[in-house]
Amino acid sequence: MTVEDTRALADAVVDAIEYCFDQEWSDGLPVVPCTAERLEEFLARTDRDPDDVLLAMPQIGRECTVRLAALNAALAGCRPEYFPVVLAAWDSLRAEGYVGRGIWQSTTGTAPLLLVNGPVRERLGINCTGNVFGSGFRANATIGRAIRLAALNAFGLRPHALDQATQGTPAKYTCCIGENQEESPWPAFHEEFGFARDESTVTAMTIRAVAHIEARHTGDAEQLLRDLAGTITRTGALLHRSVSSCLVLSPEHAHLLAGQGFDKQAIRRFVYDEAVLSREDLDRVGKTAISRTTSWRLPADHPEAVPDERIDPDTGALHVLTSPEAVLVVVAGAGNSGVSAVVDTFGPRGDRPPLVPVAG
Amino acid sequence: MARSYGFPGFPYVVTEHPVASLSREEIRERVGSMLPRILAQLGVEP
Repeated sequence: MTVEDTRALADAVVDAIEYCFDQEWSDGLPVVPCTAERLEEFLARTDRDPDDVLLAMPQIGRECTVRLAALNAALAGCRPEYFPVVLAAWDSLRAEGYVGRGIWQSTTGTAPLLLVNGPVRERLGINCTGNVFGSGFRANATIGRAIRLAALNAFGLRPHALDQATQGTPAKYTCCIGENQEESPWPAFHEEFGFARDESTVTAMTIRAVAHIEARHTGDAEQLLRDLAGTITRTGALLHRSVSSCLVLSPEHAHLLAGQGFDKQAIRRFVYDEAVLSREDLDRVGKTAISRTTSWRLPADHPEAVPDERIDPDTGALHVLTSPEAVLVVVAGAGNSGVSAVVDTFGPRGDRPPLVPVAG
Repeated sequence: MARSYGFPGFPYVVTEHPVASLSREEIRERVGSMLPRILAQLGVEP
């Protein structure tokens, strides 16, 4: 190929990318233009009918089919072999339920966190270690982006229009992590829920925020867990009757906890016990009562307020979690420091999270 | 939003924020203040 040929090819690629921008097929970043032949490479990775509906939003009369999911995965920059993971992500989002009920249109501004377990992580190069929530890894970046682009292109959920997010979260661009099973002292997340270690799964979680907790100050497991629980318990996270959370522990924190006898269930139990607000805490921020019609929190003197029956009448204490199972525990990140994350999730509040096996 | 739904000229009435923290009575007042604009959209003469 001559220099002129190379220049002409580059110009053609840029023209194609600009065409995609003109069609509003983008999240603001360049997309990878997709041909019919390229789309077929993605569809060849599944036995599912291209017209199968993965998710419907009856409130806007739109749906995402296998074909549209494949097209947006291609636009996102996925390799065709990523597509079974993308499909599992859609199945998990459907099972979780919030997206079909309009959460992507809400002022809340959520994003889906995709958690990947099993051998598919290594096969596709899904990052589970350093910078796990950050950029730098094609599989993480593009699998999460495939969902976002379909939200924009298949469902038409564009900002300032059908997506009314007041601020949104940076996770809207992409948010896909692998569990660092290899450096975890405990059974992997999917093993907890009955899958074999050599199976692969995707678990989608609708999230508001990811807060990183740098906690290198203590070697005491209970002090560390109280520090993490403090972020779960903050009043700003308590909008409704209760909260739910996913603790993404770095390997260093996980081993510190395991070394002092904590397994995942003991962590959940301890955090549940510690995640308590007092009536005074709630009074101070106007969240002592519940709306009679919406279950959102209100000041106690609001005309629509009814008392929160979960506040202990004797002690005035409120467990912000409904049960220990409202905390999910995952290990991810590098083993180089004590930095973990508290992810504000929309559930489950003790229900089984929506793990979906990756086909193939 | 109207354009996304396929009705680019769809008329609508807007209200001030906030809404979520209002009481029922305040909601009634808010709707009352909007009624002339709603009726105008519906073609009802004042």
